[in-house]
Amino acid sequence: MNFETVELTPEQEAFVAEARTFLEDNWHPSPEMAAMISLEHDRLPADFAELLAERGWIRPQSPVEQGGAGLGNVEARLLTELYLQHGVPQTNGSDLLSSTIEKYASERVRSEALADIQRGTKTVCLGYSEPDSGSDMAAARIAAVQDGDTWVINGSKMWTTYAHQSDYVFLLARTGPIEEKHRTLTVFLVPLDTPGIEVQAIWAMGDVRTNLVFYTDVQISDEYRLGPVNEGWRVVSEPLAVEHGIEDDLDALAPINGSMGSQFSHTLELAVETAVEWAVTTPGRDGRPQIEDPIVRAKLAEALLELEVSRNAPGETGKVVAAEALIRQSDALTDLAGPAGILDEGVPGSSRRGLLSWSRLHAPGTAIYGGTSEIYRNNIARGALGLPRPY
Amino acid sequence: MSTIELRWNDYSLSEEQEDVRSMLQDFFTRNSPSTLVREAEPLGFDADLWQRMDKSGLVSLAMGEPYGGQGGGLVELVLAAVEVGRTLAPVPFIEHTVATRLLGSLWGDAAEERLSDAVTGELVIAFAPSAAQRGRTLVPGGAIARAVVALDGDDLVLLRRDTPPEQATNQAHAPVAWWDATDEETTREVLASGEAAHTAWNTALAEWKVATAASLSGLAAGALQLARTFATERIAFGSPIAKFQAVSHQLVDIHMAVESMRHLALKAAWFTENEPAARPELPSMALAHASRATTKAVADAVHLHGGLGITLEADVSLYYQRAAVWGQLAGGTRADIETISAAIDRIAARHTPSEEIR
Repeated sequence: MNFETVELTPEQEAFVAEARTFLEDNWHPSPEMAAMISLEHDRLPADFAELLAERGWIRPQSPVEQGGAGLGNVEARLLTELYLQHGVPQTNGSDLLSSTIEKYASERVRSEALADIQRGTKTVCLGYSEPDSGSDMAAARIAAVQDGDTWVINGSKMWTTYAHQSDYVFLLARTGPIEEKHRTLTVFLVPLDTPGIEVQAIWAMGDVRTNLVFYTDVQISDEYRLGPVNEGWRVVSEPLAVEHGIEDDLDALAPINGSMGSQFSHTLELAVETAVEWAVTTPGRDGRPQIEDPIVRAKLAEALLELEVSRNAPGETGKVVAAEALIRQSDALTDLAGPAGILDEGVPGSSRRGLLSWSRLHAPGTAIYGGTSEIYRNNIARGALGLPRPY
Repeated sequence: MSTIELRWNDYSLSEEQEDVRSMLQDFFTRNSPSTLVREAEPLGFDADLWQRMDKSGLVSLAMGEPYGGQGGGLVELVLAAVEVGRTLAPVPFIEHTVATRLLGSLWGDAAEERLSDAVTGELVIAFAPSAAQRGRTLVPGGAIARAVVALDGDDLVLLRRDTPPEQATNQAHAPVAWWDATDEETTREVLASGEAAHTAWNTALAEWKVATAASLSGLAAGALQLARTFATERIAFGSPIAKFQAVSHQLVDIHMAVESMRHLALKAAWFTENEPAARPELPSMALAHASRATTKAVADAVHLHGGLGITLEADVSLYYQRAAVWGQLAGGTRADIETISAAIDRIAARHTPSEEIR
């Protein structure tokens, strides 16, 4: 066990200074991107992505020959903190997918895409859910029919976040009778500029853009197939395990509540800090700041407690606990701040950046995307508790 | 631009600590079955188990070596507390360890002689986690202790009696008792006064909270084990009830609570031992979370047993009866929330009040 402050070596201090200068000189986000509170919903602008990739700083812990910078845990974590401080999205690196793609890539994918996917200048979005299937991922209907060396794809995919900003979609498609469910699925890496693909925006609460993607007679070469025909369920299971936070070789700096759980905790931390700022700067009944009111203090303490709890929920439990904490406390803090909590950014009397209002709108999605809390509970029931498969 | 403070976030136990953990699990599983827990009622103390703990070096597991202990720290205290909670072991392990550690740190060279009968457990010393009001304080382990460390006004005192006071009977069958510094059977030795008294007491209180939180996490884990077993064996509508998501998801909720409680208690133990000033709210956070999550967990565990769960015959009812008491003895979550709210001021210091504020 160890929670000590990491003593930075002179080399690490120099690395921070270098990275900070680099970001100050080169990161000039658009006003829209600068206004975004959540950094989870946009890719990097292409020119800046190229600059980062030249340094291997999109997937910094990967070896240099795989597009990374071969950085150690400490340097990589420092870089992550700097990205957070400067508001740099960290959505280009497909750590989730790049090892799977490398494992199954054909010669063509290898030469056309692999290196750029690994360095983060080409990006991949996930084509799992459909209009008629979400949690039941293996019920996918979108059809891929083989015609010689070509596959013809017809159907649609829902919640393909980043489809409008990505180069490829990691597509789970049906390649046999649907009755055989898990045994007739195949994965393809489909270039999104292929004719017949139409991306339609869907706007969700909290300024989140995702997409509905239509595939009409989309023809792709068999070289874009990842893994054997009809073994797609096995191919998607590998990145899913990573996404669900059940990889077990955590480094000693990583949050234990997983990549999604730690994002949600970070959002909750911003909400708590915003509520504290509101309490310091807002007068209460007798003109004294709200923060001196014991009831206000108690409610802020409750939020701080739940934030800490969310950071101590390990692995798969972390996503569920952090999402539910964010939902509960976004409501509680909105209520605490009275009207400030529901006013939009810029309106007189709103919380800073309208963050409390935004947090409440953003929160419900966290218990859904990346796997619903119910799916997670099913997984935990079987994995951690060894319970029988549910009905 | 703010500087970056990185901390390690490593909850892993050393190989040695893992060995201690599995030894403790084995010891309490073998030596504290539910039959023994029942036989120890209503006082809630099994002298024979306490002696066996001494023979195995467990009474002094987390006491310092200079005065004859095994030299374990807060992590070892937490690991043992988890197992005490999991098996509802009727022994005053936490309060006795916390009180003895406090005296050991205060008495220096004299500690070895003065604590020789505490190290073996022959003399039970309890720790009072609530400051005395007009000399009176409710003490966990107080009904079997002949000595109590308490905060009485601005004095840290060692109270002693030849025989323990009468048990304050309670729903947990815990050996809790009122101690009264003004009682004529009680002697009162001042250990420290003023700031020194408060500092020493606060340190011990933090240790007591961390250990009690850990113990509650163990208690919830014990109740979970019973509920899990029941749900996989009980057949209704032609199948084990564990196949129904309404049931399995409740079990998962208990599991998630156990995991977050245990990790938070470990983290709080590390900070309390190594950098108490960095996160002084962590012990209160660990206890507040454990108190609430454990009472919820045992309620769910009872519920999952159906009507059987509320009967005295069902082991899960032993857990339900004990879950609420431990978290309440330092004032309950009301007091913890007040302590945690002090941490709000660290964040508040980054902001300036507006001009409207007088």
